[in-house]
Amino acid sequence: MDEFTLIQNILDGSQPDFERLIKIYQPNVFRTAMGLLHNKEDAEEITQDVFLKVYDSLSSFNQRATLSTWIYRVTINTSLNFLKKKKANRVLFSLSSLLGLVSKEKQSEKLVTDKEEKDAIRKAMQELPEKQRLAFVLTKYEELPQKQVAEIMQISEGAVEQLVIRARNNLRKNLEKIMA
Amino acid sequence: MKQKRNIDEMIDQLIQEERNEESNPFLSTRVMAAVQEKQYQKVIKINPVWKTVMVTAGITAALFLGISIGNLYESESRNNGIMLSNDGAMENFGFYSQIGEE
Repeated sequence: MDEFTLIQNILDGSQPDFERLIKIYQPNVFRTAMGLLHNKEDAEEITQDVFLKVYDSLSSFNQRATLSTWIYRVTINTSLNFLKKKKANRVLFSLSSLLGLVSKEKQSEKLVTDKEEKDAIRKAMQELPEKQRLAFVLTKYEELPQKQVAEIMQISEGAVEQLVIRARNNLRKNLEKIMA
Repeated sequence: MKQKRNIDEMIDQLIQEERNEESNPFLSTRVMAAVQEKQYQKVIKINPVWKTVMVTAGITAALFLGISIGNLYESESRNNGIMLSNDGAMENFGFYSQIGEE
């Protein structure tokens, strides 16, 4: 069944076809959310939200882009909004560390455990500028071709390449500082 | 240089691990249940309007029926008197009439 027929069937109320759409795109949505959030539970929550949004707004999908590009955009927007909401909690955490509730001694300790190293990488990824992070996640986690990343982000292919290189360099710099 | 390679390896390893993470296989069922729940809520949202309409119609019908039945009852009512008679006393009439004849 082609994409157009699938969309038409869903718009006509076919729930089995919507379930089929979920099964087709679920891995992509989950991986993208995982790349942006780095947490399985959060990524699953986002995946569910994305498909509910897709179901609600499929009628407004104008088919100028492909369905997968549109679903990636919904995933990115939903994940970024989720992160913004979470930011408030992070601000509180930073405040508590400023007040000395978190031991500074521990922060300056050399990262020894595997978990700490991974957390440091995740943190460094989260701290990348938004566009760099998106280009990096779509290229590295989803392994999408530059052309599709450019379509999703609505920028040129050259810009995507530059963003990925800058993201990689910034990640290295941030991690070197942490691990020094 | 070695550290740079190590960092790159660490990044790639983390990406690979997160890529290999699998989502809940029942996620589609959960989404479908949420979609159905949403549709059900939409129906519930419409219901209060119909509820009001139905209650209003019910009260109107009940009033109309009540008035109609009430009118029917009045038109067919009669002032029937009830006469109570005492059988024992009736027998006595004959007795007294016989005495008179004697």
